[in-house]
Amino acid sequence: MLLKEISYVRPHSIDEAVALLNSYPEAGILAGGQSLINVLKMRIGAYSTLVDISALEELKQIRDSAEFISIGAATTYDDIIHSPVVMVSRPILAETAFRIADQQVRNRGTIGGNCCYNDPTCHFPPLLTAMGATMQVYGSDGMREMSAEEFFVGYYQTALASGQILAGIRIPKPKRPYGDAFVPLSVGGTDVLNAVTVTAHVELDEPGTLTAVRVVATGVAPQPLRMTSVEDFVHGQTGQFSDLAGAVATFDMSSLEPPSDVHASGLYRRRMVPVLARRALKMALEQVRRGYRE
Amino acid sequence: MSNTPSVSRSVAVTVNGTTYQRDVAARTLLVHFLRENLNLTGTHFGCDTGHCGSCTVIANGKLIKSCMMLAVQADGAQIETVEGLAEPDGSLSPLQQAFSDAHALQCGFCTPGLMLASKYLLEHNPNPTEEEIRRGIKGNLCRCTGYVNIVRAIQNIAADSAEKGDLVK
Amino acid sequence: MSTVFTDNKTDTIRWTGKSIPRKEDDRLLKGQGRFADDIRRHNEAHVYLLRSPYGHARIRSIDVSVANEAPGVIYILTGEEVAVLQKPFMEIAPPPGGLMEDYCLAVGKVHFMGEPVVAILAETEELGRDAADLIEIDYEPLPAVVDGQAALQAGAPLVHEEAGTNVVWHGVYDWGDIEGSIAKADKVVKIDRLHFHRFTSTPIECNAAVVEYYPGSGEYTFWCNNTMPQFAAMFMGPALGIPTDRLHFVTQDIGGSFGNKITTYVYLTICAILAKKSGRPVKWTEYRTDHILGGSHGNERTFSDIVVPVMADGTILGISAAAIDDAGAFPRYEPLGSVIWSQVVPNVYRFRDVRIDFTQVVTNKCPVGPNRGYSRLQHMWMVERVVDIVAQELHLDPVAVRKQNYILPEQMPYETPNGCVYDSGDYPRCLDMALELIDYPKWRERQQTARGTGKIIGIGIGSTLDSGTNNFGQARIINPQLPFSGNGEVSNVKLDLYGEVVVTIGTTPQGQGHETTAAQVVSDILGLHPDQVRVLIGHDNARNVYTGFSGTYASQFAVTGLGAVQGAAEKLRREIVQLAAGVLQADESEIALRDGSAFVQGQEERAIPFIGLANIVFANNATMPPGLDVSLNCTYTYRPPFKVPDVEKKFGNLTLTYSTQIHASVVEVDEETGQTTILDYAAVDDSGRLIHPQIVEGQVHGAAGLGIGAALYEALEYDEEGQLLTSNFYGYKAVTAIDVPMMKTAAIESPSPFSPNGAKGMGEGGGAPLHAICSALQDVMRQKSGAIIKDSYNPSERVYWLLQNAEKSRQGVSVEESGHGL
Repeated sequence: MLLKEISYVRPHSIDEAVALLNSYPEAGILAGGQSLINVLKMRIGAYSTLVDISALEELKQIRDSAEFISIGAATTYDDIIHSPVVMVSRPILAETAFRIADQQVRNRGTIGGNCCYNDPTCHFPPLLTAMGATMQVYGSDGMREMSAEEFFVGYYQTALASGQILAGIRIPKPKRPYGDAFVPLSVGGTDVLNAVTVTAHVELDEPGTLTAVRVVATGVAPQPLRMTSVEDFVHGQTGQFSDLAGAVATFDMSSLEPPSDVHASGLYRRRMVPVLARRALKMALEQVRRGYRE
Repeated sequence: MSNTPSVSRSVAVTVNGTTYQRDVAARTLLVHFLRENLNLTGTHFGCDTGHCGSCTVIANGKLIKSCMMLAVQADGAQIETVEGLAEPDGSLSPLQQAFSDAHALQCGFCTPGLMLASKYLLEHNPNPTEEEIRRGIKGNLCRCTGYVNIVRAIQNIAADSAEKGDLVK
Repeated sequence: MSTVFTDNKTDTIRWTGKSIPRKEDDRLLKGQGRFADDIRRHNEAHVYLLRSPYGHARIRSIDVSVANEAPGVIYILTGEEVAVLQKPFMEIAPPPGGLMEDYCLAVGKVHFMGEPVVAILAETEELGRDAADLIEIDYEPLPAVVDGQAALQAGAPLVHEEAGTNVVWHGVYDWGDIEGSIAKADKVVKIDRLHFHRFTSTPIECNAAVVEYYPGSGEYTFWCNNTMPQFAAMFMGPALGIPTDRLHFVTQDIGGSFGNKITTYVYLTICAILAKKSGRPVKWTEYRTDHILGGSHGNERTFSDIVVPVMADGTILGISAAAIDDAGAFPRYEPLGSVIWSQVVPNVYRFRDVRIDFTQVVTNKCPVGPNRGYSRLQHMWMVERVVDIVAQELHLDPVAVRKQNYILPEQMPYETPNGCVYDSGDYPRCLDMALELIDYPKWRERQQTARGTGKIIGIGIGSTLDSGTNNFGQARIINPQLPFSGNGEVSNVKLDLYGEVVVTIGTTPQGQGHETTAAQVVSDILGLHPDQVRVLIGHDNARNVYTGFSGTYASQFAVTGLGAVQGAAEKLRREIVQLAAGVLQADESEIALRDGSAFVQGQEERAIPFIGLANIVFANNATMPPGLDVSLNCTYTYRPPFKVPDVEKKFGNLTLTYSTQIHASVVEVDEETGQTTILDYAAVDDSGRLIHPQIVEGQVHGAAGLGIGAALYEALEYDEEGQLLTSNFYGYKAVTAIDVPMMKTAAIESPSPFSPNGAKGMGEGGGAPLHAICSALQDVMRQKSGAIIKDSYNPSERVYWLLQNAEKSRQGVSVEESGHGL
């Protein structure tokens, strides 16, 4: 609870924030602080300067366009939960955000923080990977875009270089019937700590076959893991596809070397992947068949 | 650059309607600021990881944990703490009374945070289901009550205000 | 024997037994409670404790030279200096446990992760913490021992070389004739191992203290949240080489304890030394990680070689087992747990033949201390597991086996095999009520219909006792040299100068509402409204109202605390009546009390208010009626009717009252993940005559909530090197509001014939949820794999593996025909 002496600055714009980051080598971004402040309490962070972007309105917008929803990195979980745009276009974002921690944390924690922290128990890295989201990275040379898969590179690691800020996230709006499902296995109680998660996304194309299939597992690898063999198996099937076990069986679980810790053993995590994958696919397929999400 | 990082700042924080101007170190958590600098010791802390919710306050209308925010971030903020819950004449507010009537507090240590969480919940959802109540207070640990009477207190006040047709203050 | 209920001239009972609004609530709801960390003293300095990162390591050197020069540092204390300033704390155990040396800071080596090694006194908390980063400690890591059974093996690392062994205490408890019952049994059920896990209650308020030393009087004042201050004094006085009367403890509002704040004397000693050294008031604030690392854990206990003789009809004749209790790195309150379990030897059952070979050991883990249900819940969990395993293995109905074996109401008071006397109760009726509350037949049906859905429903029962009001004479069974026996609490009830009624008690309430219930009792005796009775907050030995047993622990306030309040209020009533009779020139038998006045019955104009009586005694005593000797300031010590137990036979009445808890739980297990959801939960309790039913029900809820958390989510887990893996609320997953069900409660009242008011102590509960949930999971396994629930902690993963593979758990469990002997 007793932080090291630290400097603090509140920039007035994203440009100023980037300039500050580049002027002070041990500077770090403070957004919602719902992970960072805990790190600082334990005195394990290397930051000596905090650049507080939590009040930058330009990073807190949820914008709707024909193709995408754009969410500013400093948008809080609670703002996502209550966003009409999200509710209409991609409700899984709100449903998943609602599972994070508690009301207090959701009121301050941000989607950008969730992504940049990239703890294997975090909710958004797998979800954004499964949604095919684009991460908008801002640095002194301007805006750059990368896919979520490129962004989440390892345990607590992202592709952000020093001096860069995650400015926003662009999430595609499917133009055809689709399904999104996020299925966590929480240990220690309901929505307490995600030991393993599987997220599934499917779309149904005009001829009635499944496409854009993405199945992503976390808790079993350093980064959100695309279960490509499952995706390939499901791709091109009809909307009535029901051989979930067959699809999941294509994935070579023995290739996984999930970590063992006090929350769950590696073996248990590995065993949970197919269970959650079946459940996630089932939920996503039900939505596709209904043609809408409830 | 107009803005330079500094290890301390002058802040103006309004707590329960009173504005306090103080110099504060950047490393000071809001909960310590409230307790040590302002002597508002009704806001408690019971952990060091943002789990227990004893330090819960409402800042600019949002329910937050004051151990998960720096005091310098509260510059210009409007904060509500437990000390501001009672009626102007000192009598218990309907929410406080509901907690007492239902025996929703034992040691009383988590109670300030739980009342603020309850107040926020009822302001946003005057008629919550049991599930919504439990979700609403999930960020507040209580080790005395098993949460049973806390949930009942919130249910009771929701039912009361529904009867009276008014929103919770 | 106490002499309460001798005065029958009270007005009719108006307050006792009613759920009146709590007197404590108003200040707590407004944020006006005063907790230990809320105390401020002028010129206070702050203590920061640098703790061991190792489970076991020798301290080669500590370099504080840089830290000493750091900004704001006032004094730095290390074990080297402590070894000079402090004698090792008293040990309750005889040798070998009694040889273990315990200092307030690590001396020479560290024994557990989180042990305080250096204390830094600084102008602020932050500066103390900053200075800690500048301290260089050279540790030589040593092999650690983190398991009770491993601690006993030859060549195991020694936690305390000075003792030459890791054994704190060993004794064999043998009552009845276990060999005889094994010989005559129809079947003998054997279970190789049952493990009761380590967890703790984590009161939301951590420990804290402000300590000030007055050189003029040599007195230390401790504004703190210790919950058994005079026990602390017994340890601290000799350790600091000062009389105990120089230790002045003040407690006010306390944010929960559940027993966990009893052994904080170690930390208070650090503060005392620093206060004297610096001449400053010193403040110590503990945060959660400190608390989980170095506070007080619950006892972990491993039972092995369990042998249970059973008749074909399910009658259990006895239990034989070995128990290894893991006390962590220092005994402290231990080895009292090595005897306290024997308050409930047969739990709620009639079996008479019991042998328990009990060993307590030290390990490189945080020291244990009392934790809600202390020592009894571990034992009763074992007994409840035995009952369920017997039922499963003999294909009997667990409900029927319980009823077959319960002690019956007509047998009350019932003397157990070791001489404890269960005062009253009706266990079969409580069980019936619990089953009715959950609608047992409905769930048995639902269990059938759930088959094949991937969800398995299990129904479980936990039957327990909450033994309250210890006979501290049981400590002599551990160490015959200990001069302890009986129990007691003190209260003072007085009129103040203007006739105000003021009550003082020696207890340290932490949410149990003592101010309220004491006011109820006094109001009935003095004819007042509870609003007219002021009860002082907390314990303060300067008030001179305490015994060596004073505090709030071990489910005893309703008996000892209220017994004392009742006795003191009755004394005051007699004095008021005497004085009023003299003033009003009436016979004492004619005097009645109402609303703060004494009057002559039938002639209410002949009255004198309490203020008038107080005036005569305190400020106008030349007008005192002649021949009267009253002070209107009455102190009474309640002393329960105990004898010293027979140390040789380990026999005697160890507790005065026995509350009953029968819990029934319904769980649903996800077959594919092992995740357990509680579908229904009922708790039926019998706490004797209820003083304040709402407070009692609240205690039942709380005990159940903690038990549910411990059964499914909460565990203190160490790795082989003695690293605590669950040292904050990330790892230690304290149960949230989502996972405690809206439990159903009901109560019966079987008045205790032994307590002054018919009440029984309660509040700890007997860990009934641990038993009920394990029982329900056993019911799940019975339908599926036949696995045996052998651990008290059953997170999803463990349940999953039990469903997958029963074999491992079934190894070592057998049913044999009779007559094979041990």
